[in-house]
Amino acid sequence: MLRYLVRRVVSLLATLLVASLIVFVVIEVVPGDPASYMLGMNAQPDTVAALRAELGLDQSKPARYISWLTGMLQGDFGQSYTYKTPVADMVQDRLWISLPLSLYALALSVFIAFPAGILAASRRGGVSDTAVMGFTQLGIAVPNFWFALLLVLLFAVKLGWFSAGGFAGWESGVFQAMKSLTLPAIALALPQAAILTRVMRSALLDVLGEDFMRTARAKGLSARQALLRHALRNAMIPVLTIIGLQFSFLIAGAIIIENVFFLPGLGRLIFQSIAQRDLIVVESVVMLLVFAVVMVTFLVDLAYAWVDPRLRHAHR
Amino acid sequence: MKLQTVLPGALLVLLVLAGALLSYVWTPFEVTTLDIRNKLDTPGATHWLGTDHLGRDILSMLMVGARTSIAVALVAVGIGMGVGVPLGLLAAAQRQSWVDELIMRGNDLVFAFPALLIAIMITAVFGPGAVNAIIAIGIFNIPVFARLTRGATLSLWTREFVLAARVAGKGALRISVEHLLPNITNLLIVQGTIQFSLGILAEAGLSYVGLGAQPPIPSWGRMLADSQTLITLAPHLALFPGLAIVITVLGLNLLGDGLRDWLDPRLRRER
Amino acid sequence: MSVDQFPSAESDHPGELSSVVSSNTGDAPAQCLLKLERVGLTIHGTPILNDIGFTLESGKTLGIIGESGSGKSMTALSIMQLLPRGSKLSGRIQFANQQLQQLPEQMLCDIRGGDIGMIFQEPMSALNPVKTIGDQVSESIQLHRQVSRYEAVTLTAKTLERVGLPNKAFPLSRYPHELSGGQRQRVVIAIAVACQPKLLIADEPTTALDVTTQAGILELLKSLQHDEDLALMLITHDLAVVSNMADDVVVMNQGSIVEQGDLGAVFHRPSHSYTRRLFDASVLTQLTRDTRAMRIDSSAKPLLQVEQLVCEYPIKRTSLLGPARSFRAVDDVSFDIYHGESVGLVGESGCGKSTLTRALLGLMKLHSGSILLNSESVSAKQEVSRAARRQMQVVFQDPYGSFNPRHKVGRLVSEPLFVLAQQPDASEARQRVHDALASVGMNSADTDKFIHEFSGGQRQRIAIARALITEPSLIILDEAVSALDVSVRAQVLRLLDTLANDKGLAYLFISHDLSVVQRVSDRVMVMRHGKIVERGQTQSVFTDPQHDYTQQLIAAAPQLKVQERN
Repeated sequence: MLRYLVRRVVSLLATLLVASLIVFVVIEVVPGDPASYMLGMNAQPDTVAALRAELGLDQSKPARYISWLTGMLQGDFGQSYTYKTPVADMVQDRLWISLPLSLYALALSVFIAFPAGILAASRRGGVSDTAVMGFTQLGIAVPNFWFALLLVLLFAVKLGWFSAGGFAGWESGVFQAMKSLTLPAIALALPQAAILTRVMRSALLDVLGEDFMRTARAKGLSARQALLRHALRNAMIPVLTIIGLQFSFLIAGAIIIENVFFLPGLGRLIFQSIAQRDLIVVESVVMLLVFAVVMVTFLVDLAYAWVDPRLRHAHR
Repeated sequence: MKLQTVLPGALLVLLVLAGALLSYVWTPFEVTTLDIRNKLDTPGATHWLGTDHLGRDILSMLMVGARTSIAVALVAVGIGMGVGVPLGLLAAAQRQSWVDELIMRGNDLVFAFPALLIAIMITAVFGPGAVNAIIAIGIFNIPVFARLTRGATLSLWTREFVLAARVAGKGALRISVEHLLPNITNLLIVQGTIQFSLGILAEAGLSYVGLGAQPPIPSWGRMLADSQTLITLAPHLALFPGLAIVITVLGLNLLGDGLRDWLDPRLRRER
Repeated sequence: MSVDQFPSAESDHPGELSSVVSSNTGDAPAQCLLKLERVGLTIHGTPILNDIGFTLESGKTLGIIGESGSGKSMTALSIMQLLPRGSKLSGRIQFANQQLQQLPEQMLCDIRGGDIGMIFQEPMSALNPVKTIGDQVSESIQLHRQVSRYEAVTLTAKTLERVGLPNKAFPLSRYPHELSGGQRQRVVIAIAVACQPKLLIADEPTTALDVTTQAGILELLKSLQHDEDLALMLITHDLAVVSNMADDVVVMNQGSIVEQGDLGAVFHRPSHSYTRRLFDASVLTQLTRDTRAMRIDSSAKPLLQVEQLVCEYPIKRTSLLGPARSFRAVDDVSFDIYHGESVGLVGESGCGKSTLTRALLGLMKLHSGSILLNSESVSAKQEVSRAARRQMQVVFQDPYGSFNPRHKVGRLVSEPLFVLAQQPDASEARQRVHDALASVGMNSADTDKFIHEFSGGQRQRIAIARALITEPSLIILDEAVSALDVSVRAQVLRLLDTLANDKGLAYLFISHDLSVVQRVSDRVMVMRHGKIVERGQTQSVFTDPQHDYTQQLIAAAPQLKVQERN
């Protein structure tokens, strides 16, 4: 188990290192001179020179990469050129919207998908299976931002139950804050729930065809008991993979959904920064998101070992 | 065989495809002509699906927009297959060597960058456009196909018919082309349809946030973005482009599922 | 598949249930525990079983014999009421005076695992990989007995001891993947007998196991049955196993019972032609090869010379900085094969015989040693020469997996022609394919068919045709008849004999099956842990084995006990 953990941590760190190098190369090396890129065509030479000095562009590229990396490790993400404030501060505020939104959506999709998938698998070929599968087909085909627009149209414009956008802020209470995240979370969660339901169903059906399910029935378990006690945990292996992958989709999806609901999260920040050519902010936020995705993959790997004893004893 | 498994999906896809192809020779109205007097028309006899805030015909824009969506998604699948499948074959042929390890770690790395993040990085440096959307989605497709190909061929390499080919003195390349590729074609077709539909969704998302095709080229995602501010005034602007996306993606997914049932050798062998 | 692939038995007469059950507890006549009457089964309309009827008494063993597809497993699943979706069962299945089809699902659950235990063929996949063996056995106890958790654990430990898994060596916290196939099968047996059932159904319980492991499992089943007065229903394709275990036998073919009765009666005087054919085929594989050894000229140069061959696999390092380690799968093996000679290589799984095959075929690097074919090196670390590949061909075990399902027979059979230095033109290649197919008794019209259109035996003939097409001197037969039913196996062995006589072929016959090796080889080698532990003329090795391991193997192999029939 310890060896498995060590190997995972090593590969986690290696992935992060190479990913940071890619981000650095794409954003700071490819454009040539980031300073003149950020200031645009008509910039005065002395303004460019000032920005170059501020960004430390006179240093060699490897030196800049090292200092960017060590800075991030200490929580220093540099300074936004447009806002003249530390990127770390800007990101921190917005993280408190994007992260809860993604987790909220993930929780919703799991709460919908698990019962629906189990129901469909245990009633294979029946009415409930057909109905669940029909809904999932639709759920996968609906783009989440369009679904968000429809939600706004129905619940905000027609019914007036929710506000059409904006964020109440955590200072106005958890309930209000969660309420303003609810429509975005539903919009994000439903397409993912559809995918997860299908995966849950097919994973369960695969396991149900295994020999050990016959052993379970032969020892006197009912079909339902056998499913819950023996099939579910085995089916978790593919399901966990998808949950891990989904989290990265949710993070990406959140960036778009925040635009629909005018939520001041990381997504809004990144698009504003692109428009303002504020490469420093773009670089940091991208790296942060990559970090989140890689961390989730890592956690999923750990969860595998928890579910599957064969991985724990992999060295045997 | 059972044609009805493929039929519904194929019909929906054909409908969209026909609309896109027709738009090269004929559209109800010119998509570039603005007709401010007739702006925000509701669906009716002249404009079947109404007009937008600049008086452009929605149906015409949807037809031309289909071209963008299909082209972006198709080329992105092409990139994914063109690069991913050979990489997967190579990794399986050189299994457990450093080549395999390198390819697989590279795959993991690309998985750390969702398509939107790649698009954001590319756009931040090169500016937005349809080509950048293609590259972003295409890069994202590469590890999908590489993994699928490696996984499927890895088990084939231990099969006795491949051993028999090796006994006949055939090399890894020849075996990959003669024996492995034909046995994973169905898998690739099915995954290709799925990635195609995901590509349509991704393209719509990118152009919705302004990272995709730029004006004046019509695209479904940007039509939705434009509709957002007018959603109380003219909900039909938001309705039709969304429906177009749903129909296309639904059609492709149904087609993929149908093809899977139709082509699956496991189902066919049970006779 | 799904959960409701095991539909609950439809209870057509819910009102009668209570009376059926209550009136029959306790005073059931002991001699007839299980009784099937006119049982028929269709799955999605396809008839599977037809008019099956037999009885089984407590303390007796009933052997059900049949080849694949005979319906013997479905008979077992019918008794368990665990049939696939779309099954329709007719007739009466009576167990302990209850008619099973009429019981509600809840009562069936009580019977399964409680009164009837079942063991399956594949021990590797019959246990849940994510649960400990203790959990899986105690689950059965907790289902059927009103016991505390602690008592269940104690009972579990006792049960595992009973099936030969002492708790010291096999604590309850073990997972299935930490056990060997035979040990896993013991766990499956423990689950089946944990609640002291009255009937134990064993469906091919040893088919997937090595011969020495098989002997242990059969011994265990015997002793369990004796100690607990179990009724044992033993389903197998292996006549030898049945002849050592059963009191009564039922012979099935294509969903029907063709013959049944007392073991001695059926085995000595089989009345049905199918049973006779089955016996003839089984006896045939147990005969020794007629000594052609005379014609082998051992003064000539050997065809194949293997000298001090060593093959190793790298294994995963146990620590990050530790030395690279490797597993020696073939350890200092030397032997010769002469022109026209048939040499058998026997060994259990993991003994290194597959690695040896791969090394001979040039599919893996040698660690040291050499392989010479016609005095020409095919080995060392270089590529195998084309000439050598032409001389040596192979037939694999799996008649389903050894052909590319996407290619037609013509292309499949002609594939080895690729090794020829001079590629034959299209018409010559076609001619050679036709000749090769003709020599194995196949039709030249078969060239345009796909492989899935053929039966297992036909496929193995096509595989032999593929080996013959380069006109080799040596064919390696890697478990080539192991996957075939006994009657088909006999035909293929006869074909191999004919080909050897006609073409002067030499065979290296690799198998785990002693009787088959005895049947086909002039000389035999016994392999264990990568080494050849014994070798000699087939007759002398089998009648007078020298090495302990060979003696064990021969003792463990079930012999078909059949006397001369009159």
